[in-house]
Amino acid sequence: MTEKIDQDTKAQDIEKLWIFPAVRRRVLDDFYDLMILCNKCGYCKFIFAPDAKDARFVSQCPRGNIFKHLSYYASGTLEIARGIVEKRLAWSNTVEHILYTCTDCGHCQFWCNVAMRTHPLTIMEIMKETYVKEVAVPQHYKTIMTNIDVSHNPYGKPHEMRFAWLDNQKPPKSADVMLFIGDDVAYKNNKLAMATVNILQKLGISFGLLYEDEWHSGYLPFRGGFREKGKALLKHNFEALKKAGAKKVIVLSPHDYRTFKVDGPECGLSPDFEIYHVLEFLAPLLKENKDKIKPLNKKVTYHDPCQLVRHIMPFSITEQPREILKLLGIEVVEMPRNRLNTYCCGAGGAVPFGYPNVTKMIARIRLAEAASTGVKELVVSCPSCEASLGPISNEFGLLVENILILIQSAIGA
Amino acid sequence: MLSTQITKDLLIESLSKIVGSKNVILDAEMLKFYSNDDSFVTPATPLCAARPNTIEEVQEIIKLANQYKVPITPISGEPNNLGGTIPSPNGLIIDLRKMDRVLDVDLKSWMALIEPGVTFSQLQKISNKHGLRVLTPSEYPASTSVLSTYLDLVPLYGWVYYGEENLTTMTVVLPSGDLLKTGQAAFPEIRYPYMHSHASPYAGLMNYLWYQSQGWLGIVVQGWVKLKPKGDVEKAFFIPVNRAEDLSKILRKIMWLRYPRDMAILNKQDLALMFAEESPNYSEHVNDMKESLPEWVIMFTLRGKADAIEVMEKDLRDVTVTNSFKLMDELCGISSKKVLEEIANPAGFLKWRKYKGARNIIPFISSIKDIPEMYNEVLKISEKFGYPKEDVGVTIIPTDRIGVVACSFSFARDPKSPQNTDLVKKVYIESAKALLNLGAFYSRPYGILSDIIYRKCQTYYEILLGIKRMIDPNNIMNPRRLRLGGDE
Amino acid sequence: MAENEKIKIIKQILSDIVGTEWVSDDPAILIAYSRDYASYLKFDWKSMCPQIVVLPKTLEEVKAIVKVARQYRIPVVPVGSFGSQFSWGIPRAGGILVDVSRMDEILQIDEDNMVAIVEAGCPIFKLQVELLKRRMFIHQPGACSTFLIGSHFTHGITNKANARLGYVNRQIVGYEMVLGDGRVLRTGSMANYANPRAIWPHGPGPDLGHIPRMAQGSLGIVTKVAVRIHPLDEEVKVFQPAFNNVDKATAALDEIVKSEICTGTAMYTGFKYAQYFADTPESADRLDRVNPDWMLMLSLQGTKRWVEYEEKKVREITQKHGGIIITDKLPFYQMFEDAQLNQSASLFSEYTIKYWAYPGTIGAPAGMVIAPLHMYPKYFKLLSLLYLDDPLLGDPDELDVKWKRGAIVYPEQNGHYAMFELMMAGHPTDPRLVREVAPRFGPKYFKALVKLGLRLDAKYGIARPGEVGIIPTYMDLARKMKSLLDPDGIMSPGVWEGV
Repeated sequence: MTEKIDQDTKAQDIEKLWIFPAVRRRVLDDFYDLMILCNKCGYCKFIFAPDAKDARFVSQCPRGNIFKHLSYYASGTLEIARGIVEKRLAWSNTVEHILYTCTDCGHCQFWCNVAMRTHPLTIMEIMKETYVKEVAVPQHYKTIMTNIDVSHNPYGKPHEMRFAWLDNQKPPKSADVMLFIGDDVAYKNNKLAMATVNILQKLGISFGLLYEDEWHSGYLPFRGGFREKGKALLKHNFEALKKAGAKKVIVLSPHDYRTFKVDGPECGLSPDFEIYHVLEFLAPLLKENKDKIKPLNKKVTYHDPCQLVRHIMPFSITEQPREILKLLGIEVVEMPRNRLNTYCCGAGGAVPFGYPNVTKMIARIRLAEAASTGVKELVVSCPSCEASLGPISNEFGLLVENILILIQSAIGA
Repeated sequence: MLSTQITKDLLIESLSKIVGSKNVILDAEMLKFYSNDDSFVTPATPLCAARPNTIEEVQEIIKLANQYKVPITPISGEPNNLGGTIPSPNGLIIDLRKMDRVLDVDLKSWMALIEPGVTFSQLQKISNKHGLRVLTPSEYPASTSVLSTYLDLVPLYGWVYYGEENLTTMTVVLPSGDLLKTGQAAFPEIRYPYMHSHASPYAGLMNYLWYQSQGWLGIVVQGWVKLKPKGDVEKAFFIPVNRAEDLSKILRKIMWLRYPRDMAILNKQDLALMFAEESPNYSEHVNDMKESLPEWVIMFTLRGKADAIEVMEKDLRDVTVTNSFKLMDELCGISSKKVLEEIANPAGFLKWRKYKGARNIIPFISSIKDIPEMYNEVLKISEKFGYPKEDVGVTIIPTDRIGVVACSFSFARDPKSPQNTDLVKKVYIESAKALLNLGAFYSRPYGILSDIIYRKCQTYYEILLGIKRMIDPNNIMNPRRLRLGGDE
Repeated sequence: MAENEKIKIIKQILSDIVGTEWVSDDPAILIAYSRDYASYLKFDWKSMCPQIVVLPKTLEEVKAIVKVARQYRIPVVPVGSFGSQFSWGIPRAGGILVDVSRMDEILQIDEDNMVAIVEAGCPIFKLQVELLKRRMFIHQPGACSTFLIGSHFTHGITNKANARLGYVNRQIVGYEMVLGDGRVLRTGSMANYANPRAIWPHGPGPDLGHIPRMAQGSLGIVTKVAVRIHPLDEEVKVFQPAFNNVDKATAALDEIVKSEICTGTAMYTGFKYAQYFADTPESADRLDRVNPDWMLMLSLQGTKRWVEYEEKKVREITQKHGGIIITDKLPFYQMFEDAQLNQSASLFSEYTIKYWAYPGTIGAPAGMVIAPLHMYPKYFKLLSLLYLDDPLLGDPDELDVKWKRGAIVYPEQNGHYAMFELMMAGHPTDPRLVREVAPRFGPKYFKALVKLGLRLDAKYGIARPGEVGIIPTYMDLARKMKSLLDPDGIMSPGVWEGV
């Protein structure tokens, strides 16, 4: 029925995973028992039912929600994996489309963990790893990987321009606290970088920057099936940070944060320094410096970024942003799908690179939900979410703001 | 149709061979019992009535009917007074009242296996001995068949708590004469075949089709029925209501509690008919009683242990008082005991028709919220034709689905007066049409109701006809029922 | 016409009907519908794909699909959530698979008459969410609440609240379905085209009101369902009387249902409870060791006064039959009260997934028996003896949780009958289940059941047409009905053995 990979020759080259409860190698064959364990309970398709608040907003799985065919949900993608292992199904463009329109929101993986525990997202990543090795590289990933190779960012922008947003300031290259900017911020939304710098300075925190030693975190290669490349990038960044004497590293982008905190240890890279998301770092500081805050006095709704919630459980960063907003005098009106049930903005998994229309469709779904709360402002804490939701938010009468900008404003930084 | 006397004689002879000549009724006087009732279905005299004693005899009779292509109309108890048991002219009546055995009573599961001729009073006596009771209808007397009443989904007092599926698995003699058992009864190894809705392929179709089928698709000759607890303590209560518009609100509040075990809502006419003393002066008593009765009364029972009743009563008092209603255990001389007796052994239409001689009802399913408008409309129509409004009766049986009720509008009629009959017929037909437009659902379409509802349910009707043609290719089973046309 | 040419033509026609993005014959799309939880146990590892998948949105589209299928004589298999443990949705003969999940709207919530009308693809919990806001709920069949109302209410049977609310058949107020001959049938009061309100399921006249139930899609495609809504009471409490003796536990449950108290009235083996609430097989095993052997799962609902009364009675009855109320004793159980509050009123049934997660509880070969409640102790003891007698199931070395029995008992109304659900834990890929246990244990089990006057429920697709007695007439008539309503035999062919 299935062909086993020759264990003797390949075992030492293949990464192992502890998953429920067996030790598996990072090859599709080793996950066959989980592929046939799926009982179509639908947890991957919908919000966790007891948490549902509004019948209009019960779907999860962004690509499933758009394309609707069962294969586009994790439960269906598992059948594709099974078909491939059983040699009933060949790789195809359709399979590529199915795999690469996944925005990596993590809903399926997280909630399957309270159901059948099939680890669908892990299986999908291994599918992608197999695909790029044995079949083809999707067009958008060809571009991404070339750009990363050449200029250490997926946009193909010059590496030298990474820190061009710094005005006259020149934080040191090494410090106890290092700030990892990330290319989403550096190249696409550097206001956030400046805001962070200003906030940290206002709060009296000295920090350093990696400058030319800061490369893409590895998020995109990991999600695209280029695990070795992802590992190499992580290794580089970790070593650079170590060399810079980092004891604490503040990460701005949730994608990068997840890569450091989760992908790193999974591929055997566990640095000595502590890793914080910027909000995680700022929350206690802002509490201490309450007197510096001038309340903004408004009502908003808050969008939890997937990478700060499900992927990093059990230590999700859901309450810190809300605490911060409260300190800023901002009342949060929750969307029906929040926290562990947050609905993806559509920007994860390199989808905006390959399928920008899909990102837009997904973003519209989330914006409709935000608009249903009746407020006019949607606060985000992820540059990718901002990039996906921001440009079309006025279609829904909404303004999208990043929480860092709000903090900056409230403390007069 | 039997065309010659010779054929008729042969048929009668064959029937006598099956059931014994004593059980073939030919006497004209006796045949009158079958030939008409109060409904507007055209009366017809059967050729004869056969009274089988066993299932095999029923099968033989049906096979014979197929052979002779003579229509058959089954009857298991009293006529249903809606024309359901009126035969085809010169057709056969198959009178199942002789099959009146209670075949099994499972006291642990509260189920009884009965034949069609078992009456409410018969089964009530048996059940009461064991602290149990059989749920009874408001409209039909205790002398009628439990099996056919439950099979037709006739509204029962107990619907308010127990719902309508009280006859579960059955044995059916198909129009071919073959025997069919439904639900778990289809499996011979099952010793306690009580469940109907699940256990077999196409359970939903096969096990429900026979409900409300008016003898059209076969004859049910045996069935398991549910018995319910009598309750250590039984008490009846009344809530007088002045306006029909006020019924829905208080009913909803009571239904939300789920306490009543029996319930009926009656207007003063039907209430008086129910409780006026049956005597030669019955009509006067009814009219006297009507004077003192409120417009509407919600009548219900509580059953259970004494401490349970105490709690229920307290909650009910809270609800009624809060909503400005009265909860009474006696009303205008009608005692709680009388209500319990009536429910245990209903007098039914056999008594109530005595008011004027005949009783015509329009039974339907509706929402309690529709009732005020429907009532007003029927009163308007009565007025239009000169029918006395105070003789329009309403009996509402709440189902266990909050808001949904089984209702019947009744019209007392003098059968000896052709003018009165004509008048009432006009009121009946126009009311039936108007009620449909106001949301009535004729789930049990007898007489003109069949024409009215099936014209609006064409696909459903076509499918039924398809089933009928397949199951009963000779069209011998009660062919006058469920027709378009108006007379039937 | 060559098969693949036919498929191409049909695909084109269907694309014209529903839009190209909602039709596919791509193998990567088809394969998602070729396996469900138990299909490998039934089809001997065959992965059976449809030839085309179509996702309609409206009734008209469904009608058109059936018309096309008739014209080209190609099977049609409607599917819902595909979560059946009995493989109803697996296409046994290829054909067009109709996935109704795009038809997921709540059409109407009629609070006056306590009925909700939804499209067949509406997930159960989606309706529940809206109803809970109004302090109401629907009584769903025991299974995951992500399942679709259209499919699950026609297959599902029961859940905890059936003593008061009845089995699932009593939750239906009407259906709209497209029959195999293309006609649209609406049942009950919805049949009136001039006023298709949903208030009553029976009639008019002969009752087709439950026609899709146990038809497994072989009579037509359900497109709308009207379901009953129930009020959620002001007070809801949960109690778990525990017993170490099946006779006493059953007697206590019987007394409760005959006293007409409690809304949630189920009985579980302690192991079943452990399966639901433990996170891993190991912790299930640990929990099982301290759990009592039998637990009643009772929810008490009503006014405060009434719940107080029910509590008094529950304590009395528990004591009378020698049990203890463990929710009093162990805070651990209090933790599950919140979960149980929802579940007892059958709101979400999330626990169901837990026991499947367990790892892989196989319901399919184990079974459902429906019999009077009082028969349960005999049945359970018989089963226990058979287990002990089996070399694998009775092997003390196999005492790991895999082979333990979980059992649930759900009585209907006053215990006229009850569902005895037996679940045998095991992984769907464990070859011993199908190759050893079933062939060895199965026949012994069936024979023993007959001795008690019991039988496995025919829900499992096995009508056993060869049996003596009445079955031939029933099956014969069922076949005739099928050919009447699906004259071309296109609807889910092969889904019922013997029909």
